[in-house]
Amino acid sequence: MPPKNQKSAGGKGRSGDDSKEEPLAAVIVADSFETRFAPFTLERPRCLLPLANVPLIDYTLEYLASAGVQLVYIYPGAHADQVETYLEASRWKSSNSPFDSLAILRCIASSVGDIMRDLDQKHLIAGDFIVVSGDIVSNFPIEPALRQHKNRREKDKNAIMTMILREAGPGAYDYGSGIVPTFVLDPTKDRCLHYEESFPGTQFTAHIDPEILKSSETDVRQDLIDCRLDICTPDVLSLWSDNFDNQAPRKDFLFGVLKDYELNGKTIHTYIVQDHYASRAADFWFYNAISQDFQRGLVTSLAVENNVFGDTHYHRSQGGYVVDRAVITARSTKLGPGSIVGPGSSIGTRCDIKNSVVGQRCQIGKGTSLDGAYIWDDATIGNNVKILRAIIGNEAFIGDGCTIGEGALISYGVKVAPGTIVPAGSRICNPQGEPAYGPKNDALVGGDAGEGHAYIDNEEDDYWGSRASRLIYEKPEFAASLSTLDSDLSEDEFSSKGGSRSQSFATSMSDDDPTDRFQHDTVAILVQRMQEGKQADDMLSELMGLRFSGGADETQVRKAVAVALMKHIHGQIESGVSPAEATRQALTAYNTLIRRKGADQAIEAQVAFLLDTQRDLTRRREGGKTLLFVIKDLYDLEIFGEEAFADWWADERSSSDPDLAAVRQQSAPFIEWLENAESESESESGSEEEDE
Amino acid sequence: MAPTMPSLTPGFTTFQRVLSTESLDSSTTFLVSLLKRRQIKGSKRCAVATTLLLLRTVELTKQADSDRLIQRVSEVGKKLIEAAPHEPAVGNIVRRVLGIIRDEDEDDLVGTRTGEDGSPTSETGSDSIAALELAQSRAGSHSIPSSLSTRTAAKASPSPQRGTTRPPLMSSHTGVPGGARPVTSMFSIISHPTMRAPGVDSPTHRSGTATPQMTASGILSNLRPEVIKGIKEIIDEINAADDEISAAALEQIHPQETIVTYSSSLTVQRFLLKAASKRKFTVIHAEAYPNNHLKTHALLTGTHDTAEDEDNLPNDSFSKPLTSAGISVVMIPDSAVFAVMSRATKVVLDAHAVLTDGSLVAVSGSKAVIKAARFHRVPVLVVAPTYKLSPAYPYEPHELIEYGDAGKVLPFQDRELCTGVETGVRNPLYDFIEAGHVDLFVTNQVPAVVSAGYLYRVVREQYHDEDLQI
Repeated sequence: MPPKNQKSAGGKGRSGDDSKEEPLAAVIVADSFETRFAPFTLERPRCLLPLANVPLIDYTLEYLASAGVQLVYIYPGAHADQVETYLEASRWKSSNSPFDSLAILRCIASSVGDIMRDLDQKHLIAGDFIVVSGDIVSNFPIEPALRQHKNRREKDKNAIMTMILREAGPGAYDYGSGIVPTFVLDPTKDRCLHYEESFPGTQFTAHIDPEILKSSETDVRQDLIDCRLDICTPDVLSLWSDNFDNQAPRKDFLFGVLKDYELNGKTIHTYIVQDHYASRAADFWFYNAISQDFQRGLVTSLAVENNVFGDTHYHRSQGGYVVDRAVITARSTKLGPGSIVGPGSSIGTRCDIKNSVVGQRCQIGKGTSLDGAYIWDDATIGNNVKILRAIIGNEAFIGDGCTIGEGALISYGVKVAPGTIVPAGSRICNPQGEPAYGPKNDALVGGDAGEGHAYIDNEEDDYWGSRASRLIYEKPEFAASLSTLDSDLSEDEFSSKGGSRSQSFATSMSDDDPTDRFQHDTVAILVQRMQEGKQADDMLSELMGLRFSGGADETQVRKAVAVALMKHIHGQIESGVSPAEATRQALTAYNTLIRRKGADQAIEAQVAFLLDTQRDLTRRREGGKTLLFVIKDLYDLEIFGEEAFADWWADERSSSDPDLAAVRQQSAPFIEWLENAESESESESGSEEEDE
Repeated sequence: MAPTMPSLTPGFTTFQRVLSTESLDSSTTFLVSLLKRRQIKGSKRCAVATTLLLLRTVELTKQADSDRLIQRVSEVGKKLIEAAPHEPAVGNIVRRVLGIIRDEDEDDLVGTRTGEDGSPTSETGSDSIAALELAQSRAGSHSIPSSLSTRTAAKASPSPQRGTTRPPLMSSHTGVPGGARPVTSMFSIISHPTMRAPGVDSPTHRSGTATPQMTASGILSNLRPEVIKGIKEIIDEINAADDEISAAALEQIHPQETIVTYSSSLTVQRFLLKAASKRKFTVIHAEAYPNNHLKTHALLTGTHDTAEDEDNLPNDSFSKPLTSAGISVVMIPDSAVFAVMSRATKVVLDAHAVLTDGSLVAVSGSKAVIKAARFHRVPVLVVAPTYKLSPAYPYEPHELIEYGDAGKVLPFQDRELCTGVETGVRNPLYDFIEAGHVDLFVTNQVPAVVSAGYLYRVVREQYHDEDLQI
C-alpha cells in the first residue's frame, strides 16, 4: 500500500528530529502591562479584545497551533479570571485541542520581567521555547527560524535568543502612537548589536558603543515590526532572574543584555521575516491596521472567510464584504467593501456600512451609517446613527440619531442617549466598579445632551479623562487630514509619552504619581542610591541609562531628580536629622545631578526645577520649611543663579494653587532678602541659616 | 519556503500520524484545521487526506450497516467540505466514498436476493415480478454505460436501478397483508427458509436498518471490508492517476509539435515525458509568476527541492526534467504567452478542478493562456484526474477562487502603495475559466479523452445522484 510506505518514510524522516525529543513549548505573556487599550482594558483583559470578531489571544494560540507547538503556558496578567473562563470553554482546552497541554499560570506581576522570573522559579521549561505576547497576528512558518536558532545554538552556546521581526515599509511606525523600536544589526551574523526605543516624529539619537561600529557591516533599522515573538533558551530565564530590576522585554532586557555583551558574552539574534504576515496589535493604530488587512483579506491563511476560529460561516462576497450565514440584512442596506458582519447580527433598512467590523449578535437600526467603525459583540445601534471610525464596545447602546465622532471609544455597556453628538476622540466608559482614575471632565460627557437625560436610565456617563494614553486610535493615512489631526495632538503628545507605559493595574505604590512609570522607577532607584551613599557620578551614569532605556525626555528626568532629592531629604528629616543639615548634605553631595551634563541649564529649566520641587513639597510634611532650605542651599552652592529664583518667584505657576502658595510662603523672606542683598553677602546668608 | 528537515509544523505527515494514533473525532478536527489553515493544499493532497480520513471513519464506525456508514461518512464529509470550499476534490472524494458504500450495499442486496431467490423461484406474487423487472432493469442499465466504461458499470447501475425498484417495494409493503409481521419474519427467514411470506423479504432486506442485529450475521460482515477495499482502490487510483493519464499522451502529441504549457504541474510533466519517450517536440513553458515561478523553475531544471513541501506523496518526489528526455524546452515569462501562441500547435494545461459543464478552476494565469489559444485557434487540452472532476455547477464562480499571500504581488514593505485602495491588493491563486474554452479533457477514467461536450457524462458516472448535494 503506498500510504503505508509513506508512513514509514514519514516516520523515518521524523526520526531526524527525535534528537530534540522534547515537544516545543511556548509561553504566552497575555498582558503587556501597558494601557494602550484603555478604557477597554479596565474591564476586560487586553487579550480578549476582539479583532475581526475573534479575541486576540485566539490568534496567538492559532499561530502556535499552526507552528506545531505542543505545550502552552499562559500568563494572563490582569483579569486572569476572565481569561481563564474564556480558555476553559474554548476549543483550546477541549479534547480535540491541538495542544498536548495548555496551562494557565498565575503570578503577581507588574511587568513582563516579573513573569519571566516567576517562570524561571517554576522550572517548567527545559529546552528551547517560544515567548510570545498574547496579541500577535501571524501566519509565517516558524520552522526555518527554529532551525536557524538550533544550528546557531549548536555552534555557539551563547546565542541565547532569536527575535522574530517582520520587515515592513519605511515609516511603518510613523502613525503609530507607540514607540519606534530601533535595531542595530549585524546582517552577516543576524546578530542584534544594539537596541533603542524612540518616539515617532522625534529625532532619533542613540548612544552606540563604538566597539559595535567596528564590525564590518551594521544595519540600523527602524522598519522592523517587532512581533514580540522570541525563541529563547533557558539561559534567558536565568538572565531575567539575574537582572531582577528588568521590567520590559525589550527596553530593559534586550537593551541590558546587549549592553553587557562584554560582561557575559551572550548574543541575541534576529530572524527577519520577509513575506507572510506577522504583526502585533500593540495599540489602537496597529489594531486598526490589522483589522483593515483582515477586511481586505490580506491575511490569507487566517482570513475571516476561512472560518479558522470555530463554527462560523463567513462568506466573502464579490463586493468585498464578509458576512456570516446567520446575518439578517434588510434588502435596501448597502454593505460596502471591507465590511465584516458577525453571526447573529441584524441590520435594518437603508443602512450604509463601509469598512466596518460588526460583531456577533449586534442590532443595527434603520438608516444608520457606519464608516470604519468597530462594533463589538452584542452592541445595539439605534436608527439614523452615524459612526465614523470609532470603537463601540460590547453591549453598548447608541440611541437614535446619535453621531459618534472619529476616534471615539465607547466602552462596555455604555448607553448613549438618543440625539447625542459624541465629539471626536472622546472616550466614554461605564464608571461602575472603577475607581475615579483621573479628573472627571463633565463637559465632554457624551450623554449630557439636554433631551437625552430622561431616557438614560443608567448612571451618568463618565468621561475617563486620564492623560495616560493616546486618545486617537487611528491616525489618517492621508496627508491632507494628517495635518489637522496633528495639531490636535501636539499639546497632548508630550505629557502622554511617559504615561503610556503605565501599568495596566494599579501597583501598591501610592506614594508616587501612579501614571508615570519612568518617574516612579527612577525616583525609587535614585532614593535608594542616595541612602546607600553612592557617589553622585555613579548615579549620574545610572540616571543616563534609565533615561535612555525609559525613552524619557529631559523634563521627566529633571522632575524625577527633583522628586528624588526631596524624598531623600524628607527621609533624612524624618529620621531625625535637622532640616538644614539634611538639605545641605543632600545638595552638596548630589548637586551634580541637578547640574548634570546634557541638562538644560537655561533659566527656564532652573525655574522648572524649582517648580517641580515646590510641587513635590506640597505633599510632604513641613514642606515650606524644607523648601526654604533647599532654595537657600541651591543659592549658596551656586547651583542656580539669582535670576532663576526671581523668575520662579514671579512665575504665576508657582502660586497658582493654594497649596503651592502655602508652601512657598515661608520662603518669602529669603526671596525678599535676595532681591535686596548684594552679591557679596553670601557669608551672611550662611550664618543666618545656621541660626535657624 | 522549503523546509528540508521534517518539521514540527503540522502538515500531511503529522496528519497521518494523528490519524493512526488519535480518535476519529480529533483526527477530523485536526484535518479540518489543517484545511482551514491551508496547511494541506492542492487537489491531490486534499484528496488523499480526505480518503485516508474517510477510510478511518469506515473502519471505526460501529455497527457498520450501510445507512450508518453513509450517515457517518456524510457527517465527516460535511465538516471537511465546509472547511475547504475552495478544494472541490474533498467533496469529490466524499461523494466517491458514499458511492462505494451505496454500491456495496446494492451488491449485497442483489447477492442475497439472487441467492435466496434461487431456491424459491416457484414463489409467485408481486415479488418475483419485481425481481424480474429488477433484473431486467439492471441488465438494461448495464448495457448503456458498459459501452462507455467497463470499470464503472457496476457503479453506474445502482442509481437507475434504485429508481425502478422503489415502486415494487412500496407496493409489496402496502399491498400484501402478510406484512403484518415484519420483525418476526426475520427469524423465519433464517430458521424456516421455505415458510417465508412472499413480499415481506424484500423490504426487510433492503432496509437493513430495521433489524440490523439480525442481518449483521450475514450481510453486514462483508459490507465493511468491501467498502474499505473500495476506498483503498480510490487511493491507488489517485496515486496512479498521473500514469494513467499519460497513457493517452502518445495519441495526443505528435512529432514536431510545439506545446505550450503553463505553471508547474506534475501531471502535465509526466504526460509530456511519456510523449517524449517516442516523439520529438518542443515545449514552451510559461513560468506563472508570482505564485508558481519558483516551482516551475525547479521542475524544469530538475532541482526538485521545492517538491519537498509536497510532503512526500508517492511518485511526486521522483521526476526528471523534460530536457533529460531530449525535448527542447523554452521557458518564457507570462507576458510572452500571447506572442508565442501563434507558433503553438497545442496547449496542455493542468486544472485545479473541473466542473460538470466543462468550466474549470486552474492556476491563475491559465485563463490568459486559454484566451490566447482561442484567439489563435490552438486546441486546448486539459489533463484532469477523476478526483478533480466535480459535479458542482458554478453558480458563484468567485467562491471557488482562493486567494494567496498578497505580499507576492505587492510586498508588504511597499505598503504605502496600497493606501486609499478600497478593496486592497489581492493575489488570486486560481482563475475560473468558463465552459466552452477547452477542447479536450484527458482523465484517468477509461474513456481517457473526452471532448468538453461529453464531460458531464464522465462526471455523472463518478457519483451517485443522491450524493450530489451533501
